[in-house]
Amino acid sequence: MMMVGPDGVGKTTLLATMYHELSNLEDDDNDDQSGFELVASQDTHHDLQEAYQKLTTIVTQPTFTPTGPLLKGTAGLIERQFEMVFKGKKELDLVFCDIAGGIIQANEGNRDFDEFKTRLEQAVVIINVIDGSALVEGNDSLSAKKNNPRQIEKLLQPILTNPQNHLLLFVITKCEAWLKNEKTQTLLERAFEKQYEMMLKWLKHVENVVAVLIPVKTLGCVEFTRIDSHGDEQEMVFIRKPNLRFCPENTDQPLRYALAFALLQHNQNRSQWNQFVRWIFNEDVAFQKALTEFAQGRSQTFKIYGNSSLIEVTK
Amino acid sequence: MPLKSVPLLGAAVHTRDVKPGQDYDWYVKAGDMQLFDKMAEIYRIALRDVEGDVPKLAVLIDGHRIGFLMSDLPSLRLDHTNRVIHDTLYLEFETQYQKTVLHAAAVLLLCSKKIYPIYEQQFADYAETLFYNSQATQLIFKTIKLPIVDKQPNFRLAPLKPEKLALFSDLENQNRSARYLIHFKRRNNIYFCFVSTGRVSLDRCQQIADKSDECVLLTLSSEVVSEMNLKKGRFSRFRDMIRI
Repeated sequence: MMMVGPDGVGKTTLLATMYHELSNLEDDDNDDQSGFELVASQDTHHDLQEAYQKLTTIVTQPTFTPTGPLLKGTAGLIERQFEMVFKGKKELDLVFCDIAGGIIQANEGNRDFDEFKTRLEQAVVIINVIDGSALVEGNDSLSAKKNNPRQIEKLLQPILTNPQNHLLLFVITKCEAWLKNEKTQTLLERAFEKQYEMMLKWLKHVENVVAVLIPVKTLGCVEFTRIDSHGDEQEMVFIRKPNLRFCPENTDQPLRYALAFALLQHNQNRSQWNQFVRWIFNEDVAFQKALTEFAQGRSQTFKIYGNSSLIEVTK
Repeated sequence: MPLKSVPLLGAAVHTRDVKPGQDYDWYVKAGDMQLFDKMAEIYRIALRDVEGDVPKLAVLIDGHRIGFLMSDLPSLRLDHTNRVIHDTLYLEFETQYQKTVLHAAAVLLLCSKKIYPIYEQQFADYAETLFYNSQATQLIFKTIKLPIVDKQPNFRLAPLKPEKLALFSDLENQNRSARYLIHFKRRNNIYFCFVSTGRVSLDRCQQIADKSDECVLLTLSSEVVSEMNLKKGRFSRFRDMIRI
């Protein structure tokens, strides 16, 4: 699984909050009895928990003033190790790759870029993190600079045309201000479709890719207020709202979509012998039932592009 | 805080600039550096993007040079999304100053969490000065002031043996490592490396160990239980785990 997006869009923030939210749901939610569990390696768990704790300190920052730094920028390519466990037994290894946003603009021959390309070619799920404030409020040039859809398209097209099935998640961050009502949500969605028009058109013609648009609140208490100019440079300014709590919303959803898709692909690609053994012991039915239950935790309100049958989980 | 001036041969700074796309990289490479590539590789494997609240530094001795690297130095600069820019400073010296450099590393391991930011600030200032003068054709520092040991390690703790070791970075092992560095005697011109870092996996520690004749690697990874010998291959590591 690979996270992509220019620097500063919130890739590490998203990874930390989505892991935290999903582990919390697994701990608390008695409805989720699917039997699947996402287990992070101890080091990954500590790193992401530490990052999450730093994010929670946003509530100690003054209100109505531009928000200060929370996490460090990423300098290279970081692998986060997870296991997907089914009924206490390891089902598959998962690696989440988080990158320094600048890597996507590097050239062939750059070691980080080459490593990133190799990982991208292996990825089944690609998460393109998008700065929502730049989408809606930025002019074409600012939005292109912040999210760089052309470069992302250039990188993804050759990868997504290989025969392997792929899930592409467009996760919009920094969009708290537009998730308040249906009207502003539509505004966000339209801004996305305009900026990513070329990629969405291309997705209509490929059979092995499905894309889902997921706007999330990673912090919940920080909102875009204005764009400041410093010479040629423009800066998106966010402030902490006093009446809002630190409360991520929907951040478990990208992970739910990603995990359900990875499990589905894993199940479909089992060897014939493995399928036979599982059929003898009735394990296939139990797994499929559990996967269906797990997939039901995905919200159905998100817009889907491309071949939607790829994410359908049937009983 | 006692300091000692040491003649500098070369220096490098890994940092980022403010604007989007001006990402982390080695922005400064100045002077005569023979060990830079090797140290940059150690940094890439074991210190870049590593979490954990411990001293993050490395020392490398090879041939007639000694390299010292200190990473995760918070600068006063913020990037375009208001994140604090962190510097990594690399310094290279002649091996005749080996003792002073190793003592500086020991000081950083022995000092308290309250004092550490003072040293961090001192190295960050060097890094920022080099960064602001990155266009200079010559190395702008002739000497660098390094801290001198003013606190003895705990001699009651078991000393480290000259091996390829990975140690869990708790206070005890930091203390043992400091003692090892203070009394380090280089045998037969060996390639020696010391790294103190955060949560870096055993696999990555092994990658560093494979490249050195002797090494001491302090890590916060949960895979490293107290002390592990990286010299004898995987079976001995397995044996170490069972024994502990």
